[in-house]
Amino acid sequence: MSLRGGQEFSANGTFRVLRRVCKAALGLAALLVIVWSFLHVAWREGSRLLSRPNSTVLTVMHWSGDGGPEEDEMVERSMRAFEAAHPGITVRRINPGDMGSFYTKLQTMFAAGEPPDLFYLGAERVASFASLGLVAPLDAFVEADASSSDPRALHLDAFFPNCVEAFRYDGTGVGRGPLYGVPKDFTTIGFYYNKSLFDAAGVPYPKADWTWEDFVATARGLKRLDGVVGAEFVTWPMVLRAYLRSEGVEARGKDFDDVRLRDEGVFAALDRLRSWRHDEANTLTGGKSKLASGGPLFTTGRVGMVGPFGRWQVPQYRKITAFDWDFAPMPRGAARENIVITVAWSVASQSRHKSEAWKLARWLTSPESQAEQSRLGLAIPTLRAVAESDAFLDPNALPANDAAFLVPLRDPSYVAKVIDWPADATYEQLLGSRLDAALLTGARSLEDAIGDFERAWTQHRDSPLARGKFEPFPWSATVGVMSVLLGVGAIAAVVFYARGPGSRSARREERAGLLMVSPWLVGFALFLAVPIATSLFLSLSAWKGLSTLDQARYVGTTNYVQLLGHDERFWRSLWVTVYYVLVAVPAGQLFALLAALLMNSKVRGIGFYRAAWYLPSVLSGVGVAVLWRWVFDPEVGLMNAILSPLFGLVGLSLPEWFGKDAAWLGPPAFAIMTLWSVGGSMMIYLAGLQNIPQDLHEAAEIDGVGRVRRFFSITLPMLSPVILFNALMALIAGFQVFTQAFVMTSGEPGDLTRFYALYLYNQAFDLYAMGYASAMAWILLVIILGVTLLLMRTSARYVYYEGLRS
Amino acid sequence: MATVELKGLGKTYTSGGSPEGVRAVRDATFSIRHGEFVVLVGPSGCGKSTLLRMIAGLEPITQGELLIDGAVVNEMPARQRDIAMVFQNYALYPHLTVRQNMAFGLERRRTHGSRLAALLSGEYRGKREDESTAIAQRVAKAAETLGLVAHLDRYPRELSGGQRQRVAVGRSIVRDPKVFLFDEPLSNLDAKLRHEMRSELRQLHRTLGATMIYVTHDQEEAMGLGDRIVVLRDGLIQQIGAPSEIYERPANRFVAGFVGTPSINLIQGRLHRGEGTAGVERFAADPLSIDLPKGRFGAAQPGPIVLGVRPDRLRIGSAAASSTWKSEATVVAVERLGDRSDVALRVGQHSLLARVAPEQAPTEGATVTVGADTSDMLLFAADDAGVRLG
Repeated sequence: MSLRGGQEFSANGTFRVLRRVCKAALGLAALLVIVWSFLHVAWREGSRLLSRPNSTVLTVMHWSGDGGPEEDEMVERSMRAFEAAHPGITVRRINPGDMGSFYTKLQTMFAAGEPPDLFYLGAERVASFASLGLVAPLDAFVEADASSSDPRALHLDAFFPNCVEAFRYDGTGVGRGPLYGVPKDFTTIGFYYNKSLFDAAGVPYPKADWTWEDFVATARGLKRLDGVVGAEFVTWPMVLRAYLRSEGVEARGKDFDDVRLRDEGVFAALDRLRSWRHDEANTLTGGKSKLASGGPLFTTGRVGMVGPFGRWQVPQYRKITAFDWDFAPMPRGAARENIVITVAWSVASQSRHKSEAWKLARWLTSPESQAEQSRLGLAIPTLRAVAESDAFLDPNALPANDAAFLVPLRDPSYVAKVIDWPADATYEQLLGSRLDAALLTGARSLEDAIGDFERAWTQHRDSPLARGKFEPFPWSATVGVMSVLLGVGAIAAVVFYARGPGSRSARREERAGLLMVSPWLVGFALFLAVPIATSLFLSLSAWKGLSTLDQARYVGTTNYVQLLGHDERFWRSLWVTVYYVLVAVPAGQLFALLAALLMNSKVRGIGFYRAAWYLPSVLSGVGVAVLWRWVFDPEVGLMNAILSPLFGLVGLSLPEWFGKDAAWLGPPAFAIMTLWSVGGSMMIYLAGLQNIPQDLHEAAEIDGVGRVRRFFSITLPMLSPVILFNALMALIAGFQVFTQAFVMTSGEPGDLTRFYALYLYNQAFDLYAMGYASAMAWILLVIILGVTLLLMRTSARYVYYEGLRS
Repeated sequence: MATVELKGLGKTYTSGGSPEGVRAVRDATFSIRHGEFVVLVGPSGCGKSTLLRMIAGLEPITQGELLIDGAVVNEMPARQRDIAMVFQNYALYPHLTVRQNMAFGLERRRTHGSRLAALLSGEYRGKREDESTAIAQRVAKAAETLGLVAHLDRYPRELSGGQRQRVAVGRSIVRDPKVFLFDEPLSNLDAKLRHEMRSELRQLHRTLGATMIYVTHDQEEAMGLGDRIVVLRDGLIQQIGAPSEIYERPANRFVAGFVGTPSINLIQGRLHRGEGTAGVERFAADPLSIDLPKGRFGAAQPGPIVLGVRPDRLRIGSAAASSTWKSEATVVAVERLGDRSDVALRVGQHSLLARVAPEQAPTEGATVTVGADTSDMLLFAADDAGVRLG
């Protein structure tokens, strides 16, 4: 009817012309939008370059710390001023956001062979970057400046030596050798304390020279207040090592292979910390709360002290209006030691404009820049003169005692050094993760946790991947062979096509079809097929993801052998994932089916209910994960609030989902969370249910079958193909769980929620072990393929496709 | 075998948009005897299926009472009414074989069904096996009756439409229910197959001697199958009677028009009394004028009226010579159907259809004499109800 009407209209010439004009206008508008958006970006980037002809372009990359947009603007301003002062140089600034994104982006740029000329580098990464030859030594520039009369020249002795040393690396250890960065800011660590709570409890404020005994006595004093926790003590590996140093002991011997956690002093110090946390209530927070990364907890006003933290908390805490607060340096134990955490501007060794980059680094660390920066609150100037000036010691802004940050550097009896880490970040990750089992969650004894660490670290350290020498990966041969294979394939395809059957018109249609899908085909080949093939080759190699591909080494099947035979973290991650799948898939499908049965009823407003049930499935994964982190919080979470009457009745203590019960409750917690977003499956089930002819139910009803039997003898078999489909989809998704774990637990505590995909991510983007990660990806593919095939093959026994065809 | 009684049965749908709801069936009252074959017939939307589904227990009854074997079953769920139903779309369980489909209802009714109990107790196992044998025997017997023995282990999708409908019937008869219900079971089949199945169903009814209620929109099927026919229109029963009675003595103009192929000729006209020849009344519809014997249509009053005459009672040409009424007519069209011919005629502005023997068919365009006996004529009131006046 409508078709006929349309023809009548199009017979009308005016209308036909009008329609064509409309179509053309729409097409033109779409084209304009596309062209405009490209032009806009090109213009934005290009206009400044054009306005500065013949200038050198410097790429600079940084992140916004807790300073946020203000810090961003400040850097921008500073760079424009630099451009104005140096007409031959144009600065292109890249800010990928937070620190995590920063290092991922940096890694990609390095791997692509196009690193930024100048970039932030945390002291903890100097060893790994310098040992890979990614950063340029700056000593020549320093020497040249020392003898220069240029007022902008940089004089290294004006900086705190503790910060400068942090960026020296001689191939074996930090503190000696060439300089790899100009320190831009730093911090020492200590505790932020709630003065109002101290006053209420009648506890004296910490003194600059306080001891750990003072600290714990203070905490015990504070917890006498109702609902108040004495202190929140974070157990990051860096902090733990700082704590040990303050007791005059070290976690390592002459090198990192020499693990000294069982030494009397080390063990006693760790055990004391464990005891404060777990043997007495509320002195130190038990680490139950996942929100206990400390910072936000302090703002609630229910924690007396938080730390050990650096200067970075200040911008956030300056917003506190409910109570007064201040900062005290980390207490001392047997030794007077604190640590320096610092970030520098480093120059990429591949940079073609090193001297310009040096000029910019010098500019950005000048007294003026540092003074401006420290006014934002979060950074302590690395220049002594600026740090000791009012720019930092600002008497008008909190904390009142800014000088407390400088105590470890001013006092000659103090030692304040950077914490050094091996080039292989696995050490730090394992140390934190394994000791947390004892210190944070208390699920393992300290003895066992140390044993766990030693075993995992030894296993990693002694692997052929870490120790072995390998030949470079034969890329040219690989590419050659692949090219030949692809060429032969292409020729075969053309021949096959040319000789294929079909009339001329069918051919023409086929050509048109191929032409139309070609954008997708090209995209698929370039962005999927090639990377997939590359990952297969990478899985046979050892390649630090920070260097370019030509640095890859051929290791044969070593990655696979190591994974399957010598990596207990791999097996743990596989178990965590399988455990999750075993819970999440059946529970999720059952839940989705029940929901669909409910949604299949004819009640008023059913459309609303369906939409409401479906809604969570369209929410962003990260947002949902953040939300559920709160839900599962053992102290303030909704889940335990709901469970508490039940558990109280039975007399059980409430579960600590991601704490000490994580081994058996962690993965199910994620499964429970998945139940919230079964909307997609539910919709498919609903469609399946509505596809079952009503006749069948009526026939069965008349045949004398009740409601429940009808469900099992008609609904279920008729729905079986849909169930198989949904279950397969859920299974495949289940094996790939990543976002929730990444956001909610980061795999902690102690690898107990480290899902397969998360471990793969850690290997690839935290430890830069791309070959290892690629091998993991292929193993996962085989596992999923195997499980899927198994299900499909056996499905004939319990799936009735007849239901679909009727 | 059972009796079924409907007392003022009605169905009102409340979700019909109007506040008082939509009345799909109103005041249906009749009873069905043991072993009777009753057909509910009417155009689509007349409420016949709703009525059947109320009897089955698939639709809640909103007014009146339904009795099976003398007991009110209004509130009884379908599965307890001991009835069987055959659906238009067969409603076979696609995931079960023919054998399993037929045994389905029996399997659900067995008293010793538990496999677990059979494993544990020998006595139970014996009883369970006895039951299984009984079920198998009944299925085998039904399959034999319906010629399905060769197809017992096939799935419904492997069968033709006719075979599927046979399975659906088989599924009913193994249960040996009190009442059989059929909801347009043949309408998905082609004409030839439908004819065959019709006679099979008749035969089945004779063999089983069961009470059957059958719904169709096809009046020919209704006439061919039913012991009695219930004609429905807009939720109201128009007439209940044997096929011949419905055909010969339709209760009103609707029934007259609905039953019979081709449709009855209806002519709008007026009735004059006391005019013309003494002892007759005159039906006038210019240019037609028919004298009717006085007293034959006693209920008819002078004024507007509708006259009906069935096409097979009209005669043409020489055959019309002895008719009590004759007129000249023009032949508009002739449809030769082999064993008979349908002749479309025109008298003035009136169209008439006559069904005659093939050798009597005139040529198109010719002028012929058309005639009929006044005893074959029916008179209906000209109002909406159109009640037959004699």
